[in-house]
Amino acid sequence: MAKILLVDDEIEFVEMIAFRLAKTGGYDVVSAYDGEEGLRKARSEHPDLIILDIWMPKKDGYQVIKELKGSEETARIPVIFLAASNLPQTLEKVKAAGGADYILKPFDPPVLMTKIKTVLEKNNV
Amino acid sequence: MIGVILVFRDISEGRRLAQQETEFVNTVSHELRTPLAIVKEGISQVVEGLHGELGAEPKDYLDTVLRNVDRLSRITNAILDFSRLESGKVVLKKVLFDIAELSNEVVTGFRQSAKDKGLELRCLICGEKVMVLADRDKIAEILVNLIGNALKFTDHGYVEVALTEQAGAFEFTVADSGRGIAQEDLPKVFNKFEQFGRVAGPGEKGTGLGLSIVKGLVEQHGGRIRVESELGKGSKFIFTLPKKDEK
Amino acid sequence: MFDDQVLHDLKNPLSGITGSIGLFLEGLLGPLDAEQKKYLTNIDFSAKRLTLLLMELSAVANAEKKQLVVTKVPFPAGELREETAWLKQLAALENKTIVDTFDDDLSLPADKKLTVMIVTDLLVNACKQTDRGGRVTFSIKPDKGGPLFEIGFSGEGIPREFTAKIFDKNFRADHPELKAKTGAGLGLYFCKLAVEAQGGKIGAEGARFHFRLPQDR
Repeated sequence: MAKILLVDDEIEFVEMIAFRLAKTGGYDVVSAYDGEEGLRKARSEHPDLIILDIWMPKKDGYQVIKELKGSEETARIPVIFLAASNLPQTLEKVKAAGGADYILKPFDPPVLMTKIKTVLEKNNV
Repeated sequence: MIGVILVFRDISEGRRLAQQETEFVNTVSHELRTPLAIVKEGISQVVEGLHGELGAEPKDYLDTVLRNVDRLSRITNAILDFSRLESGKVVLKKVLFDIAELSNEVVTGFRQSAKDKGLELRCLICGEKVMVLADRDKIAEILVNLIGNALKFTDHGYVEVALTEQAGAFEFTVADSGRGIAQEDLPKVFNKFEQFGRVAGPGEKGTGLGLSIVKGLVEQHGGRIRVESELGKGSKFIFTLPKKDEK
Repeated sequence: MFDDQVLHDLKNPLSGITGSIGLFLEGLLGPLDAEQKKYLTNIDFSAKRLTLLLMELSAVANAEKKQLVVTKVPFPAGELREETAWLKQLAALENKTIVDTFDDDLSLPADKKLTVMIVTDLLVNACKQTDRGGRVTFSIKPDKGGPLFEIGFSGEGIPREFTAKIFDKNFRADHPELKAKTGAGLGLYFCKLAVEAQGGKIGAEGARFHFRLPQDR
């Protein structure tokens, strides 16, 4: 079963999304509530996909993905960004950062599930 | 000399304040989105029955909640868009493209809504080829806004999209046989948040910002927009796009 | 930008949201099982956050135009405790506790609506400043110069160089790296305007927010 790592500092939000991913998608879910914990868990849990918030304490999403890409063991894990801003400069930054996709909060749940499925399939999971 | 220096200082101070205001709006929008995302996800899950079965009446109420969450999101987006326009932060990506083809795309998107309402949707330039230099996405936004509005405020008859070539500019028209606008309201049509008098029919509630954003976008292209209308006699929105890159 | 018209447009759908959730939680739309109730309660917290944000926006917009209406009608501190009780449940979700120590009968010479918003905001702020498992304290000390409200939190305090700046309008935007620690909604900028509109003073030192409201004759 594919394993997904959720990284976002909104605890309630993470719990809700984790619930949906496990219940309707059948995924194995691991959670982290800030950038540093996210990196730690990416290395220890070897997830197949990371859903990553941008504006977070300790390390923001851009820093996290930079470090993920910079390390052999985590470089190939695809990342879907959670954006809370639809400013063009944010979206450009997101694309340039090397994420596989992004989704803007708030979103329609089926859209997230489809993006996850697509990215996992693309990465042969 | 002193007068000139003062003017320069005012301009840059004005820009700095506009910048700060935009940052403020960004921060607040972010704050609005986060709990909105929680409400949307949480309610969706309950409505989908993921936490136990739900009766019909509760489900209806929760569907209302979801609609309102979406409405709040739309308004938040519109506020951000408008704020960026005001602070001059929208950068146009001008490309050479066929505006007739774009119109066709947009009109096609509205065909079903027009049909559902029993309205005729006429596009007089849709078969042609008219090349313009402009930001394609922003022009699409303008067209979607004007045509959507026309359909919303028309109960019988038609909405017609046309383009004429003038010397030096293209003139784009979206006309409808709808309810029209009262004389005293005409000057306010492009003001932000004006949703005067007219009561829209069923369907998504507007944000009140649409036309002010449209005006901003048209003017950023160096064009002008105006409206001709009479209560009970329909409306005609006309905007121009200069043919060459005008400064 | 967030003038009255905008706020009005934002408040309408929000009322639709909170109204419906409220009906549910009161059991007026049929029985809810435990899990549904838990979910809706969590959602309700977010709806409350949204509402607080909009109320603060409204107050700030008015205060900046010097049009903030302040109505001082003395009320007992116990009412303040009631109105902020929901925050204890919210804090508990992150294993944080809020402990309040003041006399319920203490009479507060203030605008109740604004004071509830200020205290709510400071408590949420304090919760953000403290780590999981941390403790927030809330006390009100009567004084002839006017009651002194103190909201403290366990853990590292606010760095000295920021204690004055955190009440500025754009502090959060200027310091994105401090996101987690810089509050809820409009936060401290609103608190400053609302305290000053009542003739009071607000400040922060180390791991403590404090404000005093003047005792009117």
